[in-house]
Amino acid sequence: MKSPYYLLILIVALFSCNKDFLDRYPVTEVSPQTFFRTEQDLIMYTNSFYAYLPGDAVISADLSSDNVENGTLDPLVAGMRVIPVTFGEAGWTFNRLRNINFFLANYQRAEVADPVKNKYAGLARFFRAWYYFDMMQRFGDVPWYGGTLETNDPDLYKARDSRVLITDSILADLDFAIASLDAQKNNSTVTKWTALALKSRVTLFEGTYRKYHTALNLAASAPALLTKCVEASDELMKNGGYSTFYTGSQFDYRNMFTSQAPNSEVILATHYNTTLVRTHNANGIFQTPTQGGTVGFTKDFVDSYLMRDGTPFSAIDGYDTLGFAKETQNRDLRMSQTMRTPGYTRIGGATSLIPDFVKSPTGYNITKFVAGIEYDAYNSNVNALPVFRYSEVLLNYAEAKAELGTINQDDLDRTINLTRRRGGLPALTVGAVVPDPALQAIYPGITDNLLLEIRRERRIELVMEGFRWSDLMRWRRGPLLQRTFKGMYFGRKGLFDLDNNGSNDFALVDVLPPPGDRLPGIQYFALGATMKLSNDSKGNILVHPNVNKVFDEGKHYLYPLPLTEISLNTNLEQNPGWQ
Amino acid sequence: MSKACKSSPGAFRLHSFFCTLVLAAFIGLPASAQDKKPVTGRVTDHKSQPLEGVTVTESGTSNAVFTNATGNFSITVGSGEATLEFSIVGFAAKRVRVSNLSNIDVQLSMANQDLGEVVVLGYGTKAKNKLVGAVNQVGSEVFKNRAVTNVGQALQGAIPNLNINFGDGQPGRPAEFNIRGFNSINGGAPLVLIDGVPGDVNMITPEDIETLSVLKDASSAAIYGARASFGVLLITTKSGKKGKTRIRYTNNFGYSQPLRTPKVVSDPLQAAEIQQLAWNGYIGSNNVSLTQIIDYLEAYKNDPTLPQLWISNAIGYVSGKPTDWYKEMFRDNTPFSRHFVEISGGAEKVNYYLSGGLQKQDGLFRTATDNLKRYNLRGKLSIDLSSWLRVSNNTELNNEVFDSPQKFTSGGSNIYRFMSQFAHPYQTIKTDDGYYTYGGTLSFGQLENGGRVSNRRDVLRNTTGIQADVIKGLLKVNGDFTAWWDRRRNDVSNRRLTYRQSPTAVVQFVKPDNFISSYAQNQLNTINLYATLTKQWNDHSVDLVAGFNQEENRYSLFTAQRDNNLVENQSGLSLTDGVATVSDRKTEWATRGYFYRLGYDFQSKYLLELNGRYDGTSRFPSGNRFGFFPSAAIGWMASREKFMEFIQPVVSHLKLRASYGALGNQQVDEYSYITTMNIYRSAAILNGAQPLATGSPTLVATDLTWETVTTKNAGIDIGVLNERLQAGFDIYERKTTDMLVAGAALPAVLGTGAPRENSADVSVKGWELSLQWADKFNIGNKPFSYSIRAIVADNKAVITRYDNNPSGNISTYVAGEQLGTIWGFETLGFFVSDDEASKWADQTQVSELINQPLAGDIKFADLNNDGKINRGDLTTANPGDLRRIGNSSIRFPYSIDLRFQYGGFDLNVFFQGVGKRDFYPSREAAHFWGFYNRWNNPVYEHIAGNYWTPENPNAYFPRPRAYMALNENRPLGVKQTRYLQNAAYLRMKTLALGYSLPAKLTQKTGISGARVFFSGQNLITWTSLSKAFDPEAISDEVDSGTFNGDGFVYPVQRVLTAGVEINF
Repeated sequence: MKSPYYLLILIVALFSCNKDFLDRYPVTEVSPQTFFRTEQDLIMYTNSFYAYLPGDAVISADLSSDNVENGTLDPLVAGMRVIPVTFGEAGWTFNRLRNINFFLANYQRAEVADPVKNKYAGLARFFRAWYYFDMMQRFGDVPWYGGTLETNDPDLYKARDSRVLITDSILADLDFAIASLDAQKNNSTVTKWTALALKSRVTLFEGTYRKYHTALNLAASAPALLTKCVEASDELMKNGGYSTFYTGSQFDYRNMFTSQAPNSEVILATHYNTTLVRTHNANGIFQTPTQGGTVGFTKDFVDSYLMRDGTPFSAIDGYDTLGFAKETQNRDLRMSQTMRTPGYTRIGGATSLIPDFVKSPTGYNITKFVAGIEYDAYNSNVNALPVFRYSEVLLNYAEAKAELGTINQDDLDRTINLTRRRGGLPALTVGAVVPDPALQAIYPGITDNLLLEIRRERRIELVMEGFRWSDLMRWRRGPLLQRTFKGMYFGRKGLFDLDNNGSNDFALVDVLPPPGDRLPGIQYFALGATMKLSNDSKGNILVHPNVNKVFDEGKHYLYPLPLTEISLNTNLEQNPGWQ
Repeated sequence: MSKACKSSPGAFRLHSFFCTLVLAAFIGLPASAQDKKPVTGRVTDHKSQPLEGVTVTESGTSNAVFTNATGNFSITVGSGEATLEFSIVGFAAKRVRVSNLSNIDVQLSMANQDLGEVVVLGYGTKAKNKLVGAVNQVGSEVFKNRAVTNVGQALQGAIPNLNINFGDGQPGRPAEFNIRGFNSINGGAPLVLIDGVPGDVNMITPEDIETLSVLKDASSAAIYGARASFGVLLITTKSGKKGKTRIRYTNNFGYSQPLRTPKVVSDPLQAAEIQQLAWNGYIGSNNVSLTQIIDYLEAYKNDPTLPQLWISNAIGYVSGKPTDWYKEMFRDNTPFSRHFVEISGGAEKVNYYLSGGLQKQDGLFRTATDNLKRYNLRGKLSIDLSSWLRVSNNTELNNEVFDSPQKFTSGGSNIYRFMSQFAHPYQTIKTDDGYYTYGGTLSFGQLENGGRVSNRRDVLRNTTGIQADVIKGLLKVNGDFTAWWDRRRNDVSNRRLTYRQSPTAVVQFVKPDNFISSYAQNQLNTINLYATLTKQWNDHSVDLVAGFNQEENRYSLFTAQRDNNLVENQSGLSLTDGVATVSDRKTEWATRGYFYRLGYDFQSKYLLELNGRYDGTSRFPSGNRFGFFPSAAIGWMASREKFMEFIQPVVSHLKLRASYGALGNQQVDEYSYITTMNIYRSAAILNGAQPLATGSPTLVATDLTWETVTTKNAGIDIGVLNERLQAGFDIYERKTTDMLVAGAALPAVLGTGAPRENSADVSVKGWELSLQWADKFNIGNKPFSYSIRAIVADNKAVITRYDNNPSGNISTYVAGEQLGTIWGFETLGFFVSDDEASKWADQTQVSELINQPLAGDIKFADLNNDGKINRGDLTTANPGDLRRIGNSSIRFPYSIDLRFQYGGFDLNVFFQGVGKRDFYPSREAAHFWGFYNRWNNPVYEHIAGNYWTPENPNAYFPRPRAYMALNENRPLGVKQTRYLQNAAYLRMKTLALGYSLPAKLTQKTGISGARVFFSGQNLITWTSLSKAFDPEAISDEVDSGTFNGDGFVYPVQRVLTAGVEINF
């Protein structure tokens, strides 16, 4: 320790340490350069697409349609949509597309056999087709991107592509998916049959859209699309091995939507599980006023259920002034499995319940998807939610054939006579369709009574499964939304026996009497300041009597594009009517 | 020792005291020697007042004593040849030869400016009067005898523009430090250095601190380079001093109480009726469940034997017997204890310091509480190997265990949020047969049965260093290596809850049932190597520091989780049998830099300092990773000029300073420039399981580089009336440029966020002022000394560039906007009639409720007269009817510190406050909004009787109407002038009263000094903020990113303690 210069040795030692000291790379995340090698990599990546399944969006979608009256006025239904500022508000989002396209740009690098690779590419293209189908329904024309974009890509600023190009691209993707996906049925993953079901849905949508939106000048191409719908549906019906769920029980229809395990009719469902803490809130949405808002079926929807003998409800004398107890008698069996009717009991509950007007001011409580009382705690439902159901394919087939004018008895027996069977309805016979003026009134210009019956069956069978809005759009029946929706009919105010058991259980009043003046065992419902009966002293409950709803046919069939995107990309044009 | 701790708190206290005594006996008191000569005496200051704590050393030996409170000392020296040295900070040292004297009285004079306070700087120290950067320093007095659990609490308000935030009152909550305001959009925090190397200030014990310096401007921080761009906290711990072994023991016992817990209306019937009004206001008719409850409560009034009424999950069980949920939730008093022992001293070639601290604090929950334990140990040793070489070692061992009930019921929703939905006086926590109700189980049941969280943290830090006087008095070389291991073990159990759903059903609440164990280790290795050259000649003085610094950080995390706990009161991976998941994460970063500081002064009058650092980091691609960041500072001691002589009788010193410099900021993610794909467990259930999934990587720019932080600073220091009045003022501007943010906006078709680029700037302007008056005089024949110190500061941040927002959308950063701006509507009041409401501008866009506005509803001003109340394009150019109604930034933080000493008594009163701050309670701040948020929220006392009715048109709140504050498109959810809160406050942070026992009394027992004290924290608060919030906890849950709502946090507490300090 004589010399301080020993220190110099230390200094030199320290300064001579490795030059790549500042090079540090991530070790617990993968990089795209080293990924996409094995089938496992392809599986792991494509698993991310299942986040795009609609989940509980399916069961809330009809809350924005003429099937349901919403206590909080829905801007979509009321024609109160505003031009959004950001892409997020507008739904003009492309993140899913990028995720899918990134896979399609890289999967070829995997060191596995082509059919295996194609299987996953088919999965990706299925999800891409679905993505573009959603975007096209919303915006009409959309820009088509077959690959991922870089920040300096001129295509960032391209104009929208026509719906014709989009439809053709969707069908190309779907045909690839149908050819390469597994044919093994599986109701939690996407298979060949799921792709066929989507093709059936897309082609029916676009075929009818082009047929009825004549201003597009695409009507000539409609029959080809409808034919594709028939073909895709037919292949699934013939070779898919699916069947309509029917045990003969009067609860078949209800059980299909309240059980955790999907049945033979379900092609693809979103699955839920308590242990995995993946649950939804159907019981809350449809029963608790503070969750999902106050919602109830409209009278118009309830009226569209046939009588058990197959005749229209409108054929009854004075059908429009019947009270709850009468109007619910002898109807399609599916009615009592979709909404509260006299004698309704919860699954697992013993007492019969009358309608809860607080939850459903129209008086028609929605019960489809409401599982047993053990799922009443907030967000605890585990019943599977359908994404593709065989019955839809049958209805698509029947509708496409009817639109083409080629439907025959055999077609009816293979399709809607199977779904009607669950309602206890007699089979429909070609040439023996009873015309329903109520139905003709809401679909003016349709002279084919069989087509009208098919549309009725679609509305009944698929209610609350998210089809009604897009059906109205493709049929160009937007004006149906601007009607003042009605609720239950009351010939007077005062006490009622809603469940028809001989004792009063309900009181319709203007203002709630003080507690001491109320009768026990009676549910009081006060119209208050905002609701009223259609003829003041009597009539149908009107939840929004004074609102002027609008459906501008020059504008409202499509959504507006976001302002920021139009200013970023001058080639992007706003949809008609929204400028 | 740890076993003994567990037995009982009382036993433990005794035990630790015993330990102290035994330790003292072992270390021993210096053995007596032959031929000694006793000397006594008294030390006084320039005003003949006794000076306490003066070190009296026998020159050339380790023999030393301190003077007591009366200035007296007593020492035994080797012989009459000995010389005594008297020294204390702030006074000139004095040497006296003993000769034949047995009584030596000494008067010390104030140190002249050159020998004044020494301030710790980066890689060195500097006399305070030569300082040119913006640096503040505090000493150990700030940390003494206070009921604080960590350093941050003691520092709140101690230094101007050192902002300290906790967020809530949870025991052991670490402080967040900020120096001089907004740093960067990417965050950023001051660099904390403990004895020259990075460390965690929240883990060390306050009593160990000798000095704490805050380096605020670029010139003082520049030497630390890339990690110091937002200032430096420089902590120097105590060291052993040559002389007699000194033993100090201090403790602190007391309890804490929650402040500002929500106050709910206690009458069940009144509460239910007000809720019914709110429901009615919302939907126009009565709520069936509430009608049932009201009917029941009325019946219960007449017949209190009625059983509990079951309603539904939304309401649960109803009882006529009132329940005060918050009283049941929080304990009135929770115990708190601290112990600290220090043993220090030094001999000719060795100095040593050894300390140990222990702290225990229980939490507030009555049902199943949380508790914090912290142990601190520090050992410092330095040995002179030769006349020019010293080696030293500094070891720190800190352990903290926070064991608490799982406060998150599901996802990130905490129990406070659930309490805010169920704490009705008419609702019961448990049913008569002992089951929790729905609401009871989500709050109380969650605490008791929902699982526990145990966070254990161990910090081990060791610095080994050498100091060499290579050329005596000219060149020194220092080198040190530090390894810092920071290990965290988190064990979390989540368990299912059951509750009574109905008289016939006990059911489960769906939530995870699992055990998650994670272990994280962070290791930081630091190497410092630097040389110091000092040279004085004639009027010139030069000091140069140059060196090298290297840091390497490795982080690794291992997490294992398995579902389904099998054993009721015990948790562990082996005690589960469900789905198992393991994961890990590893990250690394490294920096390397070369630095210098050149100081020069002429006659201590003209001062110059140049700093610089050439810095490299692993966080940027190799081409952009190095940067050079220089700074310069000048100072002028004006009071030394001849022409200023005339002021010298009054102004003892006057100094002007200015500095300018740039620093790099590398506080961004480790791998910002590298593309990676994250692998995660999918939420979707495929074939019965949730498989792993991955997706496309985000886009990254490959040319990322440093954010640059440029600071301009000017300051003035002044001392008046023989330094009795001292003042300092600094003004600064700090610009952070090229902040790494999303680049220029790209069309959404890109499908991912625009990659981050160096494309945003922010400018912070501020100032800080400190004033101190200290004096002493005699009352009777005893000295009375006092001091008052006040500090106030301010800063304001403005975004000066933000490329990603060309349209000026006010929901994100906008160039030219001040940060913290609150945009809102102007509230005109309430509609006086339905008619007025129907004729007023269309408010539908901000009142998405099912009924139209009526009398008693909020009336907004239509500022742009377009007949609609709206937000325009939500841009600064077209904000519709929005305007800037306030600012959420903290402005004018200030503090006042009062100290008095008389006889054996000392008193310290410390106030801390914020002069200006606005706060808008967000939509889910249900402690404030009550039923305006959701109808079934409790009715709070501040709302009952204070809402609009035709009879009470001037109430604070509008007509009762549920859901008005549910989201941001509702009349109360939208920010507006009427409910904007003034979050300014002044809080008596500390009141500490001490009494030092007379030396006569203590010396007989071998104790050189003893002091008893009482201390209180957070005793009084003055604020006009709503009682629903604590001004220091207005934000959301600290431990979760999930939105709960403002104010749903662990309550801030008042702490009252007493303790003793004994010096041996």
